[in-house]
Amino acid sequence: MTHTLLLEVGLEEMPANAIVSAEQQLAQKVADFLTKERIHFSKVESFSTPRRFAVKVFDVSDQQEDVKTIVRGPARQIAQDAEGNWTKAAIGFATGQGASVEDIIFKEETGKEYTYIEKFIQGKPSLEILKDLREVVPAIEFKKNMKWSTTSYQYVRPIHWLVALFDDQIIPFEVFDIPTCNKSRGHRFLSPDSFEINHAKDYEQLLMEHKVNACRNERKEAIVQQIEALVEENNWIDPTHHTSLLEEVTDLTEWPTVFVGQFDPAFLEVFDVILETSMMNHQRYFPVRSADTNELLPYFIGVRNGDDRNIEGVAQGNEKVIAARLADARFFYKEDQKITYKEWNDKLKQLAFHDRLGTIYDKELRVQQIVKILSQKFHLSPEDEMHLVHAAEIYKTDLVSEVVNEFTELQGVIGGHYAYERGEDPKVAEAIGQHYLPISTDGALPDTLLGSLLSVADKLDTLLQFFSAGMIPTGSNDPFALRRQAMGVVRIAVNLDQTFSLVDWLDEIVEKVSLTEEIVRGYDKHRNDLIAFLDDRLAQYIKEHHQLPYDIIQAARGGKTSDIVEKVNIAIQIDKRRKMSEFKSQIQSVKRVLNITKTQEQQFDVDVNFFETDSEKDLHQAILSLKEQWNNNMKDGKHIDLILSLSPQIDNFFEENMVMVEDTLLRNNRIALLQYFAKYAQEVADFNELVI
Amino acid sequence: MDKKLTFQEIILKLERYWSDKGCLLMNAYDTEKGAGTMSPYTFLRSLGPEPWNAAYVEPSRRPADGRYGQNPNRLYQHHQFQLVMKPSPMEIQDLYLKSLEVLGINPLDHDIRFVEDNWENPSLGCAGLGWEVWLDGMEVTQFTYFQVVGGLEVDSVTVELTYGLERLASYIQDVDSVYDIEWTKGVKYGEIFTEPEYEHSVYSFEESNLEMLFEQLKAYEKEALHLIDLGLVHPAYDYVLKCSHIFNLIDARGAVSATERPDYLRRIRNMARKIAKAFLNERAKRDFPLLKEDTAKWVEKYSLKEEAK
Repeated sequence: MTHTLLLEVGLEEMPANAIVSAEQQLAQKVADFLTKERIHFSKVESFSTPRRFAVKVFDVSDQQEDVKTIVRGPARQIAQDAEGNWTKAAIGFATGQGASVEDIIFKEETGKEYTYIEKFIQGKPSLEILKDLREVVPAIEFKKNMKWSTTSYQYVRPIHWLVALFDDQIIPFEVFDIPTCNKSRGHRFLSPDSFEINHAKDYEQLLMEHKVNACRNERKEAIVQQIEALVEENNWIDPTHHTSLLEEVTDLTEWPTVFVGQFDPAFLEVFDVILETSMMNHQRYFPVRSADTNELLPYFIGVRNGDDRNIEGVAQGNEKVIAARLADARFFYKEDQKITYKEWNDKLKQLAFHDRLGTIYDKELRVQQIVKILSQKFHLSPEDEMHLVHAAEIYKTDLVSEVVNEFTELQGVIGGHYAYERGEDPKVAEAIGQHYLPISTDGALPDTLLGSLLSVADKLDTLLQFFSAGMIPTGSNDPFALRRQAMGVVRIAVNLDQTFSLVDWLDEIVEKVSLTEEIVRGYDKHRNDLIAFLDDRLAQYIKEHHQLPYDIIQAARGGKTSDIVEKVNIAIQIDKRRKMSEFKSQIQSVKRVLNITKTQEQQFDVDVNFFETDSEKDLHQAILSLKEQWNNNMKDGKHIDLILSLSPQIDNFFEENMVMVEDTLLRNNRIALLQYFAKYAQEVADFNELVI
Repeated sequence: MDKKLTFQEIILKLERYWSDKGCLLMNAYDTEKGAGTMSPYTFLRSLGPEPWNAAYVEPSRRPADGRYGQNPNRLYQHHQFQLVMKPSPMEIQDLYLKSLEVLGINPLDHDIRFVEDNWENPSLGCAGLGWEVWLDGMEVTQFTYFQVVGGLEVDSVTVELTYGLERLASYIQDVDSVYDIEWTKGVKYGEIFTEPEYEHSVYSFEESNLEMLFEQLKAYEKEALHLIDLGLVHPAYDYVLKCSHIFNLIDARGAVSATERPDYLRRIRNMARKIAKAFLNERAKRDFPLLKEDTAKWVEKYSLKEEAK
């Protein structure tokens, strides 16, 4: 006979972004628990709303599975004396296993007889074991926990009820002083009284009767369908492509009902992005666009946590709120229109970048110089360079605008819109609008060259300043998000797919840009920290975006080039070759060379007159031919192929010649030959790092 | 919501309701402050193991938010209805929702939501977790479980409900501007507050004597530190509140450079921390007079904490 298991944790409203993870963790941990306890089941279904997360497990076995194990004891000759009597060792073994000597059997293993005891563990009734689910609930992890009342428990929000049922039986245990029961709760307002769940299998149906759609996907689908009906009726573009908003409203409701509200069309004079941010981020409304013109319309779709009672009243209430918010937004927008770039820049002279690192205005001045350097590196036309430098002159001004003060999440974006509105060249406006990207480790990148370069310049300046001032991230402590910014530089560089000699350029920036003496001194002191920090981000990038193994990443990092784009490329190219059959022996050849050259401190020159063997001459020939083909624009890992292609000559060389011979001239000449080759190999990568 | 409650009826109903739930009805504290949390009836009383249930209306001054009496929603001074309960009762959400019903807000006719919002007051070294409560999309209450007060992790959690009275009233009375709220029958909010709003805005943005304010800030800080050294907790805290308000006035003039701002906030925070510790010491010395049980245990615990420092 099998059973249905139900576990529901009921609590005060959880943060929307904690709910999915709680549901998944509970399902996983309950499944793991049952497996570990040898309780069989067929499948796990999970549920969640703002006030609960739950699992229902199907076909749960009545009993734990019985287990047979066999334990080895001492060898037979130790367990029995010459007369076949049990020794103390045998008795001790048997007692230790909770058995007696009669249970001992013999088996042969590698030609020797040993004692064994077979043990049989009878499975206990599942219901008895399930009490230990009490450990599962507190084990769920949340980003932020809290304490409540006078208890010292830490959890996402206070727990109010726990339902734990094995079919119709309550599984008795407590979590945070709350005993399990069979009483759940319905919708906070639509069905405020608690109700009994007589059988675990009825869980979600009973909740539906009490106005809670506990199946998250169904609830989401219900929202989507209601919205789609509205969209169809009004000829709007379906706004459910705002997926994170859809997820959020799903996690803010137990019984969603969609409604439409409107606002004064006069507000549409404000940028769409401001209106949309206000609606989506602040009010959790879906903004609405015309299916014909794609224009933003003065309507919004809200999702209420309740039924349709007085839904017009709810819509009106929401209209009042959005009207006040949009009025604010328009007011700020109009105020901003009165301010000139010069006035904003004057304000930036008052705005600290960091209290030890001067003002944002100082930062703009530095970035103007940095983009000039980058302009050369990327061979910008004089016109583009002019645009880029001009963008750098005003790119931070939106930080002191009223709109960004109110909508901080729009920094950068608003700057772009304002630049465009003020008649700046579209390239300037785009660069400003994109300079803040990427805003997360895998967020969108700038898609214009000028935007990319402004973003890189801004981030390099930030990294340089903080590192030089000794404010270096440690462990999880990275208050200025320097890791994210460094990762942004790496991602943009790779995206641009042109030479990006990061370290050289940093040195050049420090040399050419006017920096305070303190920063210049600090850079000398912390340069290596910064380089290592950037290098770690590069490694992280290769690992996360290309899923390459550690040794390849280390090998690529070890190459001589300071071009990070090339390093990524090398890692990818090495990985491609790894699957080839001859790769292993080729790498072994290269490593053999490197193992010798790395112990040599002195550099020697090859002298053809000292060659004794053909294999020396062959290897030399091969290197000369490699040299001829070698250039800096080799694509698709051709240089790796060139290195590896010398493997036969290297192998022959080692077969025929001793390197460490007595004769100094001969020895040095052979080392010279190997060094000659190693120079090329090391330029590409540190092949010694490869594990083969 | 057929009969529209006046502003003062809202206050009276809330006071009556929370009084019936066993709360002390306190009065607004008589030193300028930016939020009800800064009243000693919240800040100091949320420290330590003593139970504390209190409600009061706190007029809160935010010089930089003044709009010359012209903006329908932003005010130099607004009114918060503040409710604190320690330890936080398990049924606090239900108690809160009932208080809305007392104001004629039937939850079935509205959309009431608890939306995550973690609150922090860096200048007092306070942090908590909780929600903003939405009524048809409008934030009407800040609902917070204090976790850290004055830089000290709490042993007994205070829950704080801050009702924005102007917002609630403009919703209940269905007016678009706070100035149209009826304070009592026949008297509008604007008829009382338009003039002070205007004058305080003029003062805060244009006429304040910066030289005097900077001197006061220095003098108040010195006095606060001196009083902290003497262990005179309440007078010391009054001077911290004064510092905070003076700082806000200077800030409204844009006279605090970005570089100096963190330093000022840090200085105020440090004083608040010292006061929090001193307050706990004093209460422990007095055997936590409001504690009904386990007094010895708590007194011992806090004496140990003190020795450990």
